[in-house]
Amino acid sequence: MKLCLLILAALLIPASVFAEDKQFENGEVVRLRPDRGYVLVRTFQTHDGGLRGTAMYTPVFVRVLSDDELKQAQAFAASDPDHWKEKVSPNVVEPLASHPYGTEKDMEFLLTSLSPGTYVLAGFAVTNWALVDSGVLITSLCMGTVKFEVKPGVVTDLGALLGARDDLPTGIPQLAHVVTGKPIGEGGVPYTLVLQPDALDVPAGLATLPRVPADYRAVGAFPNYLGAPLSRLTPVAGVLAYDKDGAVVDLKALQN
Amino acid sequence: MAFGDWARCATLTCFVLASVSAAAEAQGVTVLQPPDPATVSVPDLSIAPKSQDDRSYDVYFYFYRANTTYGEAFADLDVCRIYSLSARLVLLPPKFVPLGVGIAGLDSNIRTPNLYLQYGLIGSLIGGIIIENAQDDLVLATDRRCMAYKGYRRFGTSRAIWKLIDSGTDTDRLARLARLASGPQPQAEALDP
Repeated sequence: MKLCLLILAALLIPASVFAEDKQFENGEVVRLRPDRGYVLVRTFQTHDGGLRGTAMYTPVFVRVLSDDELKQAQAFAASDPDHWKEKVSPNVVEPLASHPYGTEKDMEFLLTSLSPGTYVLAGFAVTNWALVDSGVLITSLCMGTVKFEVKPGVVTDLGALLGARDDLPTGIPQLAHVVTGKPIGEGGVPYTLVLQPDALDVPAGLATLPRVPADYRAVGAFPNYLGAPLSRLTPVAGVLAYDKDGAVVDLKALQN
Repeated sequence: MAFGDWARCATLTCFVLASVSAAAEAQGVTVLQPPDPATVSVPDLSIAPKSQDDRSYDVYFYFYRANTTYGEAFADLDVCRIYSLSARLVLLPPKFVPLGVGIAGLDSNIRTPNLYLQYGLIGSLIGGIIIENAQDDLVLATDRRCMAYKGYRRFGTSRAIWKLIDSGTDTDRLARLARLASGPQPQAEALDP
């Protein structure tokens, strides 16, 4: 029965569309609009082996809603419980690895325009030869992550995001001492994700654009809204740490 | 409850439990209340494990954390239970997530990929079966990971003892696990998370 429902749901739900946000591709000319925000992030191809082949990890950002936006969503939910989610404005942004602005060896530059605001790095999706453009979610960072401000008229540079399977040793130097290399039961593949805020090199076409590094701040645990396997971002120097009970430590707040 | 309201909670456990609870209730998941620990009995764990017991430690286990109260352990176990119920394999990113500065009490729009269009009838059937079979394992793995993040260590037990821990309702099970997690330190060696 559950299987039938799963297949029925798969047939009825359309493919991913994030119409409001534009991703710049193939070195196209970028003209910044004063009313739009822009994020630049670097991601890397990794070789997962076997049938998985080469994978690309892409971040999933969630814009923090204002009080008015939440109230509007609640009003939609109250007036139309079955269809309110089709009426609310999207607040999730996923730069697609299949549409890079440029590439450099195994690294991709993903440049996306989006609404200004505060964004949470909420999770990651993975794409490979067998998956659709948006990939599938592999991780919800609901037990600890970071947020950042996206201001209009400038490119907010998020640095680089590295990912690898946590249950296997990795050849990626930055992750070699971070992954556990041990499986946790049989429930899906666990992933380790590392943020490198200081990886700020850009392709020539973006060098002249106004660009500011993201001012990351730690974010504590929140509900698993993405619904993906649970995880947390690897600690970020000067930004994010965890205490012995797993509570997020906001290192920048401690400095102030 | 969402971002801004967390500041009204006095403790971290309150922050997380309240926010996770609000989202869980929006999805129809009931938040559990701890029974009086004096009414909760736990099995005797001092029985020496048999040689084959360690083959099942991925399934039969309990947790322990030093300097933890019964109430804290129950709350942590319940948060991890709710997280486990919320985790799914093979989802597309949602379009809307009710993460905000005010009261939320809403859920997000979980979306599954169109396996039929992508892989055809046979592919979607096989994929559906694989996903369905892996879901129970994901619940266990999520619980382990969540409790490990919270600083709990994991200890294996036998199937017979686990059946005693696991009997009754979810509240009964969590209450026994909370008693063990906050009780005497186990003599056995802790397992990998």
